[in-house]
Amino acid sequence: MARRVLFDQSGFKVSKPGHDVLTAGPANLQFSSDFAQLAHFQTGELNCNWNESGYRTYSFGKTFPSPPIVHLQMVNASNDVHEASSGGFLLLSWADSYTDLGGTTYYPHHELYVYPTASALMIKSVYLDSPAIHPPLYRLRYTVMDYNL
Amino acid sequence: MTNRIVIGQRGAASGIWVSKPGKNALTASEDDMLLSTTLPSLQIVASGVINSPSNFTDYDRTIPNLGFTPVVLLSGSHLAAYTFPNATTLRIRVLNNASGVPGNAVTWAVTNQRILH
Repeated sequence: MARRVLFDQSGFKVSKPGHDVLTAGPANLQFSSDFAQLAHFQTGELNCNWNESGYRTYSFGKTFPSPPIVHLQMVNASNDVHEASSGGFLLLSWADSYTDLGGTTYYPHHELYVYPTASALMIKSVYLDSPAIHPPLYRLRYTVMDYNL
Repeated sequence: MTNRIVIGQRGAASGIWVSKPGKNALTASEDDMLLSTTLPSLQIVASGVINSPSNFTDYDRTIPNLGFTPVVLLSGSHLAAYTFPNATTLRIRVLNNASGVPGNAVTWAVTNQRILH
């Protein structure tokens, strides 16, 4: 039977079934204390229904050494969650229908630009239709991950 | 008081488990674990930052030879993509920050997870 758990002064490792933890490489380890653990730092939701050419700043309340890994989602007025991206500079663009009191239906085109700096999410929200019609309410859901190496 | 930590043997399996408060780590289901090594943990093997990158430029970074092609997480001010010219080189292709955003930096993080199992 293969040795699968190592716990000594060098750290802690668990190998995959059938692999000796003393000789297993990274491909055959389930866990290694030589690597950093992704930790959940913060999750929040932001209403992004504005139409401005500049970026707004939402601080994390912490300054990381570099822009942190973030996970972004769009949540619409029906609480449907749309997977956006696993981070980096993000551009969301969509057109949700909107019907006014007179029964006319519009498809306002809305663009959202999001990227993280070391201390904040930067968000720009613009309506591209003219005249700019206020699109249905949606939120940006973000999760910030932290790790140390 | 409930046993909440197992290091070593749990039934037929070996590893480490930490159960939720009130759950016995020796007998609890995987759904009641806060930490479990039954599945591979997502961990970060190497990471770094490219400060003030230029648009449409490749940046090569030396990484450990993991013996497989890992998933890489990217974050920051630019659209970016990556490839591996060889086992120890991560090539990050910084595309653009089309909107001229301030605070230019791209963070990269190599995980311990392979792209194809």
